[in-house]
Amino acid sequence: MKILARWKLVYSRRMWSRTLRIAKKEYVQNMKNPWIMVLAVVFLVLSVVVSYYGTASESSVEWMDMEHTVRYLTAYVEYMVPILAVVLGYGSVVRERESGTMALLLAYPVDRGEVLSGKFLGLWSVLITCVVTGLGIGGLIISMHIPDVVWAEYYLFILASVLLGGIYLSLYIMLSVIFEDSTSSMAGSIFTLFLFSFIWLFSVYALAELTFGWSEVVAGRPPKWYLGLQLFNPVLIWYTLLALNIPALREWAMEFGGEEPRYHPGYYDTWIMLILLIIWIAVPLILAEYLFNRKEID
Amino acid sequence: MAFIKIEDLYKSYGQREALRGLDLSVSKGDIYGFLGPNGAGKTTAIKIIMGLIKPDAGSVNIGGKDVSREGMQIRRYIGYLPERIAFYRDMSIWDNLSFLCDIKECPQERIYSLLDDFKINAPPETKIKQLSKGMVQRLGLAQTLIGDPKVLILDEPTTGLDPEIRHWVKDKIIDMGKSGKTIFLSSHILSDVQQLCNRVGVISNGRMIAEDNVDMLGSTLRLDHRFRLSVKPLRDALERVKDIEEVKRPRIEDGSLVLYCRGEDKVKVIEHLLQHCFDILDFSVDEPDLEEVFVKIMEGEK
Repeated sequence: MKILARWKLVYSRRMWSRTLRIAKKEYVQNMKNPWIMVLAVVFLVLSVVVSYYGTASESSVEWMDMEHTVRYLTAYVEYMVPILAVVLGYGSVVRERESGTMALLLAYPVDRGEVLSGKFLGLWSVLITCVVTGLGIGGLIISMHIPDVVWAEYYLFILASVLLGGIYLSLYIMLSVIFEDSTSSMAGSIFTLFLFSFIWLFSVYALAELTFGWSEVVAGRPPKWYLGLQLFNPVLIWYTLLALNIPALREWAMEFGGEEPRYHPGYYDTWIMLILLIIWIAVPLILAEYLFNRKEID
Repeated sequence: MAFIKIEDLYKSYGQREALRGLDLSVSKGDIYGFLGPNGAGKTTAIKIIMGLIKPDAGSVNIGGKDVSREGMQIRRYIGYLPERIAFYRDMSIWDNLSFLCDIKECPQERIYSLLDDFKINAPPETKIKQLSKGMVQRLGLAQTLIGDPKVLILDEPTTGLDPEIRHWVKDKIIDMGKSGKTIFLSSHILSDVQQLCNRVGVISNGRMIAEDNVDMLGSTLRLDHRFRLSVKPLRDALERVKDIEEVKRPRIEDGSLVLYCRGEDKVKVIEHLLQHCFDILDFSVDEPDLEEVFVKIMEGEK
């Protein structure tokens, strides 16, 4: 019965109206944060500079096509998007608890799940605005300098990056629910960034070296568990999604050593990667709601 | 029939018991003073009423609905002023109130009349961070009326305000009470509760130790009357009355001798002073006040 009641809520117009109202407030409030604008400009400058100077090491400076621009951009976006998500998400709940506004808001007829969903939607919209504006304008500038622009790969790159941002945001909102003060929440958020971008990778590589030897991965013969483990890291799912669809990135991955999708099992598929990214967004949010419903508001 | 009913409420934070079987009831239309020293459990009880924290045991009913099961519906007709009122500081007065109006699904036109009623003279586009503490407190009180609630829960509404604002806030609470709202007001300021409330509950160490109206509490507890004497010579009289066993807390206040004693002991005091040739120019007796109630109850608790 409880589950049915919950589903009834999902279809409630009132619930959506409150969620969207909270999302709107979050959007308007956070778009005024000067750091968001700075990061949007960084995305723009980065895409243009990478496209123009990306080949500088090859002793020639010229505009690269979209495919190769994306190849170089992934190395930066992998960190830039989570940093943007940290700025938006680390204090989303805990700072409101500290300031007292959460107690005021929850004294109104609003469900805690609606508060979290509204926050996520509002903050994700800010992230989308920032990434799409920065990379979008950057893409337009690049397209003016190169012939025969293939937009599909660039669009996919922006979509995947926005989904990666959604994952980090949802993780940081969860941490903001868990931690009792904003300093700890920020530390936890930065640790999460390092966890998926460095610690995880090095741990898995070390495990691979200790068990079956790194050379097996490089040779394209990693064991199943190794491939399965990749799916527990959203950055690797994001990267795999791009590598499956962008040849320049695939080639690069092969040069880099062993991430070549050709050796990936059948379930390494574009749609499955997209679904996994969405699951990665949903799971921390569901956990956050579960924890927030049990949280005492001081 | 009780409109707000709390039964056997328990709440602990680790080893510390904040509430130990709290019971109270507030009738419709009451202005109920929830009185207790700091740390008695007032704010914990209020947060449980508002659904911000969950009790370990016990129940809270408002208008016949259980707070833990039907909190959303109940919060539609409650206005709440937290002890530490906070708004979104980077947003304007208007944006804050309009956001809260939307959440409560009430028309935004009401905001103009609220700003007017509560004498918030700053332009609506003023950011909250630019407002004085008194103005924020007024705004806090104003937001409690969004959606025209039947019940107001006010946690220490007059604490930390300057005398002028405090006086204004008290007048406003009286007006709200006159408009038929049920008001549940927590405070540790005795004079405020005495002035505002028709009914009072005293909490200590997480338990309700007395609940009645002030006059009834005074007579039930056989409290001392406040006795003020204009007597000469004053200092000698003060030393003399200290000899009387029944006299409590004798002191000099505004050129008069003030002491507390039972109603039946008044004559004994006057006789004692006359026997020792003091000139009694005038005297007056006050009924037991809330301070007396509070001191008595707290003495009993110790």
